[in-house]
Amino acid sequence: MINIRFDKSMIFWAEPGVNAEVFIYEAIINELKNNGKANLVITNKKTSTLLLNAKSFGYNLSKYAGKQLKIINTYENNQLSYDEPLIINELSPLIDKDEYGFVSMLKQLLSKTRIITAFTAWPYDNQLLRKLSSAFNNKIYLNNVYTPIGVKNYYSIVVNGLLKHYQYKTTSNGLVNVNNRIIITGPKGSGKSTLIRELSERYNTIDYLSSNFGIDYGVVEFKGNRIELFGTPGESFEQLVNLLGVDSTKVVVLANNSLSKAEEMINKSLNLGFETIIASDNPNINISDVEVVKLSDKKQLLSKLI
Amino acid sequence: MVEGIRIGIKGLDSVFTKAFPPGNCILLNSPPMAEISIFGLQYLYEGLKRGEPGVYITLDDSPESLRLKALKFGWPLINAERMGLMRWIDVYSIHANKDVKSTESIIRIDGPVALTDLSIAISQVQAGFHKISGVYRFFFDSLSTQLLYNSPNTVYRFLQVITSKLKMSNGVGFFTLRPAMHDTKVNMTIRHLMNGSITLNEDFELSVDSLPVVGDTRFGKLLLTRQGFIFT
Repeated sequence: MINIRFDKSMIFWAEPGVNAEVFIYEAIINELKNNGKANLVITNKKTSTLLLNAKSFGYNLSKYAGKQLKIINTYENNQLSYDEPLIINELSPLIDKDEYGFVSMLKQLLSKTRIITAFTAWPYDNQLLRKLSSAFNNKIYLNNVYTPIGVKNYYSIVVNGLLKHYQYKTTSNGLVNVNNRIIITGPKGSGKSTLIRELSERYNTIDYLSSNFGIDYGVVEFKGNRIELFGTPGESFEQLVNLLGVDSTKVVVLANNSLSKAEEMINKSLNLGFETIIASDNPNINISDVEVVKLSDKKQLLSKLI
Repeated sequence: MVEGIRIGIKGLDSVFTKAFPPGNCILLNSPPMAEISIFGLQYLYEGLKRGEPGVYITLDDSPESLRLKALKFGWPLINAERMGLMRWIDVYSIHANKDVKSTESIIRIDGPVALTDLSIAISQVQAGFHKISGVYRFFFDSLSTQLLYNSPNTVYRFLQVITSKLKMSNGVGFFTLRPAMHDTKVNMTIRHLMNGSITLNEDFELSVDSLPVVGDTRFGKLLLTRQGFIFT
């Protein structure tokens, strides 16, 4: 499950290469759950392909097709009817058919019905993109971020005037938010285990795969967010990176002692593409573009982890 | 620092040099019916022999028949497919009403209009290759088929995004085009979106229109032998 309300018209604005259609499956299920029926417009593939794709992500739409889920396929039949509300799996093929008249047609349609649509933002004319963007009050931006450890997927929503980014992943059980999974590292004796114990409501040491390294693990709820903390065994965090992969969201480097070693670890974390936070009470620590949070201020530290 | 690649087709290093830089998209103009797919298979196979991953994006034939075609020239691809080094993006089979599904090595796309799905497939392949190699090869056959089903503007937008992704991720390879099927403006705009262009005529005579490197020669002839193409 992800934290998106589908009760208004909205556009999932995806960079090319991002699978926005999964959000459409989620929207359909949401619509069926709340209103008992939904209308799906497929613009760029066969209906059977979409149903198969949806199933691979855990959305069994086939059982609703032709019943509560009415499907209009413009790819196979080239007809678009305007039942309400409409869930469109991809907008760009419709724009390509009538680049100049499309936005005004869309605006007319939006005045009559609610539309939820995915849109791959090909490099269309800027004016068209601006008009399309302004036609929807609710925009959710979808991006891939390529890091040395893999591809991270984000959706971004404007909350209180600020764009907030949430990491998500697609699984065989649908879309899920990637929880706040934080790697805590630092030089020997920097207090990693102590910090995790102090921050956590639940704490444990995991003997990962009954093998050669133990991980300090803690969970804490903060302002309604669940945060998982993973302490590195010693100074190396390769095993943890391999274990968590792109599911780890941030790295906290403790830098109270052995500053040169800490600096080395900060650079390593940055090179792997992690959002990195320094936790330190040492006034001599200063690395450009990396935020330093007071280690003694646990509340401030937790607020930076969500 | 990623070193340049050797094209590998005998004699063709004199055109592309022995270290052709990654991050380049070359337009390969050819007449219709030329056995250009053999050129693509050979180019990818030469890379696989060197441990360089490769992806064949096909709009004109099924991966299964291309795989067989490669085998006839002595280029077994199946082991590389098992190792994740060789991938196919099949934009042909479902559109041709074949009852097929995606596999570990083949991503099937509904047809040439499904550009969003094609861009997602290319991103998936790039992400997989990124884990195993700093450079990879691609062969896209053909832009002409894509132009049959999409407006030129749609194809230009697609190419603008895809070529920049291929360049940024150290891909190196060819987009094929049959210029006789399109008007001059289309041919020139597509050429503008590429880093270089070479042309094959009906007698397999090859000429360099432009390339990002300067080789020893700009003209020659491709001969199709039982072992594939050689350049003289």
